[in-house]
Amino acid sequence: MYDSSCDTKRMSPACTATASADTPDPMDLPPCQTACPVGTDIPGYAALIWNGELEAAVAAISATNPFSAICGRVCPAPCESRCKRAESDGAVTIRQLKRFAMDRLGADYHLPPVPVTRTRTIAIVGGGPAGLTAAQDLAEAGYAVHLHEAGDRLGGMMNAIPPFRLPANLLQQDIRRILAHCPGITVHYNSALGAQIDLATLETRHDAVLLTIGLSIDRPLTVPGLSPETAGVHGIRWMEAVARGDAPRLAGAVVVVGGGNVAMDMARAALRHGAESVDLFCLESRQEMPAWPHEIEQAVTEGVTLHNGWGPAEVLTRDGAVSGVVFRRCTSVFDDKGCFAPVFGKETRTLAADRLLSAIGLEARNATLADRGLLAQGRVPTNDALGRTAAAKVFAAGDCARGPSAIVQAMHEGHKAAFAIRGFLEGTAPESYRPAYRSRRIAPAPEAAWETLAREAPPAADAAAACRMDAECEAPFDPGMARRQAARCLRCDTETGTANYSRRARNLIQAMAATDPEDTRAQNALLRTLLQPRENPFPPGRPAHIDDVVFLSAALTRLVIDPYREACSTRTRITRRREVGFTPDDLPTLDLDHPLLFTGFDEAPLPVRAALAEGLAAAGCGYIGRAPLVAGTADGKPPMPWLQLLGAQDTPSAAAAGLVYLSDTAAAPVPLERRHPGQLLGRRVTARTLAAAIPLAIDQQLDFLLLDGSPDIGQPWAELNGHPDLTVIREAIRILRQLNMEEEIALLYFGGMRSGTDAAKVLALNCNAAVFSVAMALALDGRIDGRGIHFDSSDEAPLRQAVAHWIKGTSQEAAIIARCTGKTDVHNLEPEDMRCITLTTAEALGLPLASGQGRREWF
Amino acid sequence: MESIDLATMTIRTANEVIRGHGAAHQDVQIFNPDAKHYLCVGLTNPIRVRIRGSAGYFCGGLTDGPRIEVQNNVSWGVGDNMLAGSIVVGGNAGAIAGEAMRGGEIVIKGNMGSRAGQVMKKGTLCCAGDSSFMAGYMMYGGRMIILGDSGEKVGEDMAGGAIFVGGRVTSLGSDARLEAPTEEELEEIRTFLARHGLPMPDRFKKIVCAGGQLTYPTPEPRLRSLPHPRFTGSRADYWNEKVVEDNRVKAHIGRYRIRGYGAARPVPHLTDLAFRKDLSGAGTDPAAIAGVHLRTFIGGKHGARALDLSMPVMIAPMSYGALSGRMKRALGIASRLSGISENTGEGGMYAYERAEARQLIAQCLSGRFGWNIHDMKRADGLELYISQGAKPGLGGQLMASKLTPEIAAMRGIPAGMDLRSPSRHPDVLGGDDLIMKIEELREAVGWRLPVSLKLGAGRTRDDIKIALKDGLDFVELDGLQGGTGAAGNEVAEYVGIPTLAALMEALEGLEEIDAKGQLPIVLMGGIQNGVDAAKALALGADAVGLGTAMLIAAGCIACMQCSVGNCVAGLATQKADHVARFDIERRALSMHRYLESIRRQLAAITAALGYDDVRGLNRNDLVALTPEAAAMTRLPYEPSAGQGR
Repeated sequence: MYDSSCDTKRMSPACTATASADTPDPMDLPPCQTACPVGTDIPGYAALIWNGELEAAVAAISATNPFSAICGRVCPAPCESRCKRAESDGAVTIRQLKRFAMDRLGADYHLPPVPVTRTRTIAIVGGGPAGLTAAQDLAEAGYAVHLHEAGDRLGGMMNAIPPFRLPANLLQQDIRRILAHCPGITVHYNSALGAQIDLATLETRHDAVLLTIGLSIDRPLTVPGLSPETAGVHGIRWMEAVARGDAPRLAGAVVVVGGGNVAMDMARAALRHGAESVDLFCLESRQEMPAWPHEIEQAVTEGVTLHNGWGPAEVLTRDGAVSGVVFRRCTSVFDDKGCFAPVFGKETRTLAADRLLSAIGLEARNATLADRGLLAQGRVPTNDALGRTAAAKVFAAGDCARGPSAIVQAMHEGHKAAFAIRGFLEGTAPESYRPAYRSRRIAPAPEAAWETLAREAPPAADAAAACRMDAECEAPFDPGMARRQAARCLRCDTETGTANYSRRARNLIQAMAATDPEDTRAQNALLRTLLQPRENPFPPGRPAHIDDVVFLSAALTRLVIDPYREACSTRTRITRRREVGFTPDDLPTLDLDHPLLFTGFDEAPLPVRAALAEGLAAAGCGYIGRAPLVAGTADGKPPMPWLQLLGAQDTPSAAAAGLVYLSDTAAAPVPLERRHPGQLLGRRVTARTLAAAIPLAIDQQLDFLLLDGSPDIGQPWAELNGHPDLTVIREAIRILRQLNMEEEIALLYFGGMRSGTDAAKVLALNCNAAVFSVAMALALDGRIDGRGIHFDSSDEAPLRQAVAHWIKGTSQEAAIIARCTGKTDVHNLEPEDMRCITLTTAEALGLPLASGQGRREWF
Repeated sequence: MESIDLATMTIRTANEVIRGHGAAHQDVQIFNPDAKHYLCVGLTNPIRVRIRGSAGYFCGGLTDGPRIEVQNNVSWGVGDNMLAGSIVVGGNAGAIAGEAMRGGEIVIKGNMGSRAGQVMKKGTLCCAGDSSFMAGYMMYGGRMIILGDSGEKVGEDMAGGAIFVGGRVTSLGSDARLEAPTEEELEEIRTFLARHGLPMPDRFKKIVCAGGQLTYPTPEPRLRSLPHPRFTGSRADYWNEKVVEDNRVKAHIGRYRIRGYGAARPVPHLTDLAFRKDLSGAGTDPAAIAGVHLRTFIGGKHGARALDLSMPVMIAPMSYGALSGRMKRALGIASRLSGISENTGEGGMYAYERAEARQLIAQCLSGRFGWNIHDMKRADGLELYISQGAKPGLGGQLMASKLTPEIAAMRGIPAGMDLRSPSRHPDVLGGDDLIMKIEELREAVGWRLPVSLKLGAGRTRDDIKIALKDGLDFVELDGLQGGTGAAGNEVAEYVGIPTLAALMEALEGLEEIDAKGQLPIVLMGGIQNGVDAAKALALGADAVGLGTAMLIAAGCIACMQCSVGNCVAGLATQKADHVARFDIERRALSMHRYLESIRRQLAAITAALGYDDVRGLNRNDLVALTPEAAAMTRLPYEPSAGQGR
């Protein structure tokens, strides 16, 4: 019986799964994860959020992202731009989902502490995102880390993010999380390189030194008319002051110069800090602006006036204060090679202004490093991609080495530096770095509307709140929204139901679709990948499987059956003589509407037995068991035909339509005693007993054999105890054929029957009916529990309906298979209608492979 | 009135002459018709044609406009697929009179055979005498008037239209019911009969669709597909989650489950073969790659204008209906950009696709949805669908959610039904009928276009022999892995043989009758890249077809829920807001790049194996990596080949 709760039931095993090992092949990875500089298992945490497993979600998020709370607010989300759903109806709101999980779990949550286990120590200079990430990685690896921070607080540039984008406490939260998780990190505040400590000391004291000093000095604007009094305020310093709450209020018309994210923050902060108007000028066109599009959009939405393609030419002053700025038209910013080389035109314009703010770039400055030759043009030069510097033990990472970037990129840098330092200290000398990609393999959210759910933006803060400095401009998701958005994930990380178009196969096709045919290198790499063989899906030792049997369809040689509808006879007669059109009246006979019998429910709860009995009676199917499912009606007969299973101690019942002797002793004859003349007589045979039992059965003129492919039909839920032994059918037919008695006895098959297709296969192998057990139990909501089955449902009406539906559907499956082969009666299926796709199954069933039998010379 | 004497002229010439007179608006009379087949087939001018005698098969078939009078009798399929005009038969008609007609009127003064008006959609079929069994079988619309008695099962599985019987109704067909005709209907019939000088019976019984089987009851629960490693492969449990789910869902809905895509479990495939030679250097010599000859002509075997493919690759037939209009359009563009052919699939020719594709094959299916003479003439190839890899032995399926009014109108059927196309052509019961049908198609387009067969793999070893003997130009052979927009899960999974085996069976079948190489084979079903294609060509295929892989190149995520109609990528849906997600140009270019990557792979492998023509690839270039693949192909088993290459 289907109910929606089985969706969530099937989730449980996967939900407890932890991260599997690194997935090295990009063809096995979802695009969002490879786009994330720290390789976050995004589909994993989206699914965990859908499941409501927030702690697991946060563990997945923060596994490689020590600034999860911050990234939930300010990450540029490169993952979202690579999201496959972005190509259709909008990317999954990955960043907001992260924020949702972090917000919900609260400030105090942190990963469990990791102890120091190694003796060597590392110094890190600079407590920004790169330094702290490296510190956490190294501490997690067991090293003691000494972190020297020039200022009185950790976080570096993150301290300059205005409060309306990032509440101040979140940075502290993330830092507390890191320090609580890594007691091996010792922080030295107010410990500036060249002042409180020097590099040589660090080199002596520690086994490696990492420079992550960031870019903290604003590049000054150099324009005629600027004096120290009118120089205005510069980006980072002012933003830090704003974040601290000690920046003097602005007034009047404010002009901002710069096109990066800092300039956007300044403009928006100015609006909240007393400015009557904010005009932002930058050299670049809107498309060229280095600021992220959504930052620009938000600034414009809030009322910042954007002026693209203008550079400041002169600052006008009155009474020693700024009174206006003259701008000159910038006609191009970059040269042919993409280098910064602005060209200005003649056009100018003048704007009256009361204050000038600028954010035109940042640089690093440090005399000690400059003296050691470790600083050039405002950056720390490195020798290789792993961040080694000219000094043997000294590494550099983050903005000071790579230039300004997003926090998530700085974290990538931190991971890489930790990786490089570990390689250096542990002697592995790696050559390159990429994030470790781990997937938690969480089952996809079984949300029915996943294809239709639209991308939702979180509600924007209301206008009144938006102009406050401390009010966040984005509202969080509510749980319903978060769940809907999580369900939108296409789950590019998981396999779908088709092995023939696996995740890898699809990624390869899409890589072909994304690769320029002229890109020789990429094309050759693809070709080499495609030439790699796949793993043999049928490795040696794999047992014969009924799934390896396929049917041959009708087309031209066999006529296709008309009409299309599922009409096909499934009526079934179980009797001794099976000649076409001739059944002597005096032979015991059991007529069924479908070739389906059931067994194994003797011990099932009464409602299940009652529903099954009624369902079978209504559908015209029979039951095989020691007991007749339910007490008989007035004449003592159960509602459905019952074939009684008889052990050595059992007494044959007159209420049974037939008797099935279980006798394990091959040579033991069946007592030829019918309790009434119409009663069928049969016995169970197994692969072990049939050689002796079949001739005896023929001799005794038994009506049927129950071919037992299960470990033992006499045991409860025997099918759960092992693979079905399909050879029993092949051998029974072989022996009967040898005796020329193929039509002289009916054959029922039991073992591993799951569907109408399985039934069709045994019918085609010459059996008259298939016996089901576990499959029907599953249909009745039975849960497999080890080697038994538990039934939770006790409501008889839905169970009865499930029996009826299941029989109808299963019989229809068998019928439609028969129709595909060109048959109008399921009993006309024959071995010739089948082929095998594996050698072991071909052997076990005595059927040919789908091809390869060689030329038919006699044709 | 011009005269034609069929005693002195072949039918092929006669049809050309008739069409010539049609173009000149000249009426024609035909002497000594001698019950010849295909008379007036493909005629699209409103001229009068008098046949002085009896006509054979498909008289007036695939026409639009002519008024044909047959003095005596006609054989089966009179007025097959006609769009407008009239056919009046003085005597009796054989079986399937007016099959698939979509307009105009057919009047039979005598009796008519069985299955009259099968899959008809519009127009009037009138029989003054008695009708044999199953009149109006699977009819979707239009009007049938039987003045005499109807045989058994009248209106069997009809989905629309009405059948009026003046005499006795022997028995009603499945899902048909009687209702009282309206006065208006009777008045229209009276006028119609008067016009043809036929008497109005005292009373009429009207038979219509009872509507009990048009849609599936209880909808299938919406579940995202279980990851295949949980239920396929050697590590999956016998009683795995998929078995549990399937049995529970079946107990809920009471029928087989339906899904998209082809066989889902792994089967022996081209990926289990490797090239004998080390190909690690493939692709490194640009000059060699550029020099490889890939251009392939296919379909010219019987004198038709062959398809001219820039490489031995075609796009597999996929319908407008299963796919969105935007996706069909993008496929047309991609096929043009890469110089290969596109295929309409079921349901008719989508105008935008026709406009975009340079070479378009029109596919003719059992329901004849959207099939008409004008689109045939606009096509670059005609294809008769017998079966497909995903559901061989059955017809197409299109769930109600995707059968929009627009698509239903194009197909000529009622909207909103769970469409299960007939599994068999009304006029192709077996190999001998197939010859007749193919000749009719050839006649209709003046033998100008290649005619191919779409064949799902099964009894391929013998089917291919019939295909050869029936005069096809090529066969599209579709293995078990061939995809579809909707099929019963069990059929998709277990009916048919793997693509690899299908090709071997076809090749060996032809060899058995010493016809090696005489029937080009386009192999499809699970071909994903140039490496697969090169292996198929080396084994003996003449070209390959790409279906599912094209969808994936266009953004399909393989959720396998194509049948539901909510395709997240907008390519297998008809929901306007989902279709809008599909960016035609961007996706067409993706598919184009995908095809060009295949071209490069084919060329690189061909060159690396030392050939300058893709036709140089042969069996000796291949080995088998698994015992199954070796046994199925009889290639040498070399499990370590390809390792580390």
